[in-house]
Amino acid sequence: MAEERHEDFPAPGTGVIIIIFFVAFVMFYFLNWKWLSMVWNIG
Amino acid sequence: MANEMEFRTCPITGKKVYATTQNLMWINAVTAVVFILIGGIMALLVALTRWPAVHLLSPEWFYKALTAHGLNMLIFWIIFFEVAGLYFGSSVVLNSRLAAPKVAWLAYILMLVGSILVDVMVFTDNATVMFSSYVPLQAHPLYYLGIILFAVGALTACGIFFGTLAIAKADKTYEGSLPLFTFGLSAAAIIAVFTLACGAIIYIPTFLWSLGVIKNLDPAMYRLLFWGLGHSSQQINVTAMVSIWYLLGALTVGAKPVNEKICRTAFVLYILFINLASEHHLLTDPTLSPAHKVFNTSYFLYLAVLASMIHALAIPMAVEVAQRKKGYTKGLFEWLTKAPWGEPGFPAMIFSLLIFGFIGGITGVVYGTEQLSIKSHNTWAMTGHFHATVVGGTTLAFMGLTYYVIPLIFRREIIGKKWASAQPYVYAAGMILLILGMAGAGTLGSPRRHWDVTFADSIIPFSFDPTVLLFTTIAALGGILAAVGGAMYVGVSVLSVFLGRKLAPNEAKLVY
Amino acid sequence: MKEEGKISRWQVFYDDISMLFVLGVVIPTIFYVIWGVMELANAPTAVITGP
Repeated sequence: MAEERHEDFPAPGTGVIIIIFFVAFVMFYFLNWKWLSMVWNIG
Repeated sequence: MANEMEFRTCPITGKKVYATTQNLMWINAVTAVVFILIGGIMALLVALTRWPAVHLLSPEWFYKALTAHGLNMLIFWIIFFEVAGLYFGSSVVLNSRLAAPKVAWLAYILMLVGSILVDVMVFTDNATVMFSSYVPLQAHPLYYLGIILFAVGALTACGIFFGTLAIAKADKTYEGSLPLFTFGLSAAAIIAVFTLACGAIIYIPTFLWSLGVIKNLDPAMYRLLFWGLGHSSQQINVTAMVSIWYLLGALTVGAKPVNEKICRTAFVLYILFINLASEHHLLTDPTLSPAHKVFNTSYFLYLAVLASMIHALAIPMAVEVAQRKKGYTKGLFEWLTKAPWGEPGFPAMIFSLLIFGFIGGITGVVYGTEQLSIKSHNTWAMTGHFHATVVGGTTLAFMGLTYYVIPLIFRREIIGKKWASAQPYVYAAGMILLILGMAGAGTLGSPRRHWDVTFADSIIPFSFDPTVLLFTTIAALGGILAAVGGAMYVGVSVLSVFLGRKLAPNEAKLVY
Repeated sequence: MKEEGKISRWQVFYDDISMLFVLGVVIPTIFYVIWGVMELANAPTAVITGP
């Protein structure tokens, strides 16, 4: 039941926002390292 | 001057509002709005110059406007507002009389004289040195004196805050621990003391250097100590902003943190570690060792980043729990869709949190990585980052709070409630466009602090990828929209404070 | 966390604003300012060798 699930974690909507945040973080980190590798060729 | 012991009782919160506190809050807040007006006009002029299609100002005026924009926004607007907040968070929230009101007035006068002196020097071509005033760029001695006076005044105001906490504790005007909002402001004030101490350590020798008393000032040493002032002052803003998020959450939806211990732990992490973030301005400097850079910007700073993530979880969680208790339990986001979006405080808080967290926080941690800093340093991407944190984050939160301070503390009805409700949306939309435009152009190499990014007059021609022009245009349009949002804020605030109908004791309410 | 009549040590620490003040000033002063100044003061002076 939805209410029982919410007993475990009281803010599932916030949980989704946080997950989106972490995904954005990882993607932005990856992209910046990628762009750095394109600007600063090593090897 | 009001009697120190004269107070009224707020009909909504039951808190004592002392007349001295109210007057000092009023003067600091009104002065803050004057400076955001100056800074905002400069912002528009700078945006219209960076946009090649308009290219409004001459080079001389561009760098003058940019210097003025940085100082008026980053220092004067924000710190005057924070001082008002410190007096509120100590005297009003703790039901206590303010410590040494006459000294608080002296602090205000020092800050005012200092800020006027700085602005006069900048606008009279005596200090076109940017906010960072890097040595060996030299400004007129009165510029440095102005900053010193402002810093001394702000430090004094912090002292008044701590003194008020001591009085409240001695008079037993509150029970148990400090309320979370006041605890957050205490963290901000502690950070401020380190900040202003660094400012004194570097600006006094720089002032003497400008007078010719000291012959040489090492630029690397200057940069180290300047950023001990320059970045740490932004961390005061972060801490104050987070405190205001908790307050706005409580005022708009009755949100209470699910676990206050974790929130306080996060503020303590800020106190201990956030000032070390200043190092990230020095990542591309050759003289400091990788150990100093990595230790400060990585090991220590990430504890402060952890604190930010705690707050970023705790506040939406508190809002969601409060909303679910009211019955908004359908699906994942009814708590958010059915939130009071018509109240200016709620969208201001949410947009501030999202812009600060998603854009400002992510770009800050990424660009603050030693290697990635090499690519982003001195580009417009950096400017995009700090507009997300200080403007989309702190300034927007302060704007949201203003719409409650005016009726509840200054007891004036808001003039233009629809404008007040719309203002956070307009400002946030403008800022998002501006920030994304800056970050996009900067990622492609567009420099910051440059009058003409087409390099039309350069001896050696250079042109960027045409996408830079697209992002620059987006940034300019966003800047114009944000200026409109800023004008709405100034208009509503000033009209309400001076011409708003005076509210009777039982008239002020939280809901618009 | 408050137990019956007992205040946790963490709460006592968090309530001690003067202790937090001292730590908040001392930690960045040591790790950022003093360490940084020491490094900069000991940086070797560049020797310019002429053409």
